[in-house]
Amino acid sequence: MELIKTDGVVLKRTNVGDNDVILTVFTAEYGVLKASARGAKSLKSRLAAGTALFTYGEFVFGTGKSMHYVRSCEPKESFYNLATNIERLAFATYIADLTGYAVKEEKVDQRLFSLLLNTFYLLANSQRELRLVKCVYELKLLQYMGFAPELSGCVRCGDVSEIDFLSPQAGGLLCTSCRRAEDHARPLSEPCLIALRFILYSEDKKAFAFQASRMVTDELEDHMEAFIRSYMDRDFYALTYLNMILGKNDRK
Amino acid sequence: MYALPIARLIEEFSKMPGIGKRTAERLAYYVLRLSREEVQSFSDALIAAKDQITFCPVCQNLTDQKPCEICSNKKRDHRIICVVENPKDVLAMEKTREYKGLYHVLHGAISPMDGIGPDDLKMKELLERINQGGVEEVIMATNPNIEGEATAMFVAKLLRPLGVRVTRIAHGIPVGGDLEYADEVTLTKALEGRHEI
Repeated sequence: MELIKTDGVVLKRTNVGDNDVILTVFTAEYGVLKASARGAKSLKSRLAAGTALFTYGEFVFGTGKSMHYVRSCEPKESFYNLATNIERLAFATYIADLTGYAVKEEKVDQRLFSLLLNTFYLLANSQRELRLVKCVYELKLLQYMGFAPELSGCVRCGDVSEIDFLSPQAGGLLCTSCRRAEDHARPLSEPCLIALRFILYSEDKKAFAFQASRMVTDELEDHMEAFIRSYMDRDFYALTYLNMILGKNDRK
Repeated sequence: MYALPIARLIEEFSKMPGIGKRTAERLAYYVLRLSREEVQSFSDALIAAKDQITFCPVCQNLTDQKPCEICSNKKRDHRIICVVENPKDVLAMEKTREYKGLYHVLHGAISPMDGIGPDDLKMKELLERINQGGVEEVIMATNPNIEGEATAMFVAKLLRPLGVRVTRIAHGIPVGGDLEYADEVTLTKALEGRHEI
């Protein structure tokens, strides 16, 4: 019987029956795996702690008939502070949902795995603006998947002077004249462009180390959500929920 | 393959949680072996449960009385409310025979993954109870997982301005459990909640 030993983060936990759960785990070496954890809901189960939502740990998976099963798991970090308020929980749920959808089985990306751990750590423990943390994760995720927006100049003509628009459909910046042929392009302020470039060109951990005004954060968030919607080709319910919790829908 | 009434019966049983097709078949054939009176009694019990069980207007637990037996019991301590996620949690607490206060059933926990927000739970009813006065302590006994913890924190934040004491049930090593296999969060919580012996 083949056993898989790898580090992983629990992205989703679905209850099955009285005591069992099915996990979606983002693993460092095997991409996203689905696995059943029998008896994990029982208080005395050895799997209880390691299979909790958002837990990072070392997993040993066995191969079952229809899906993997969790043979053992040793938690390394539970990110339990994500439960300290509903906003942190909603941010983490969206990040987990996005990752579970974007990363496919056997698609291995160590950079994305460590980015996810850093993001969860900041969402759980940091006093930073969590909306910025989310934007950094979204842009870095797109970058690692090969969908990074072109931010050096206009994607149509290469102009670097009047680049005032951003378009997911065009794949990056647009200058004022090229924008006329692109209805879907959104205006982009200079501070927001600086923030986007900082995130894109920085190393993982450093990409989170900046501050932005509320106006720039709003703009950055709108652009990133448009990119995610365009490239993932779906809406994320967890994002709708997050925006509801933040009262964002009321502000619009 | 099956006669239509049997197929229908199997289909109805297989809609129930945890019942697969094989089990549904077994249950259907069991029903067919029962006498007409027994089947009638079974059917009556289903209809009666559906018709007579409602939410208690006070604690929101499932009941056939208004208010439920626990809420109308004058011997219980009406100054303490224990908040739980589900009616089954009330049964679990009652089995301890240690708790003499009242309950409030939220019917779930906040879960962004399942789209359950504060408005989907019986929180408004809890706030109304507290606002009526007479409550001194609210014990948050939601599950010790991330959703249960977030729900407890959210309720605590709502209730704190109302001047009521909000407490959380202790977390720790389960009786009969093995310290060696306890995770760091459980051990930390167990140390925080230690008491003198």
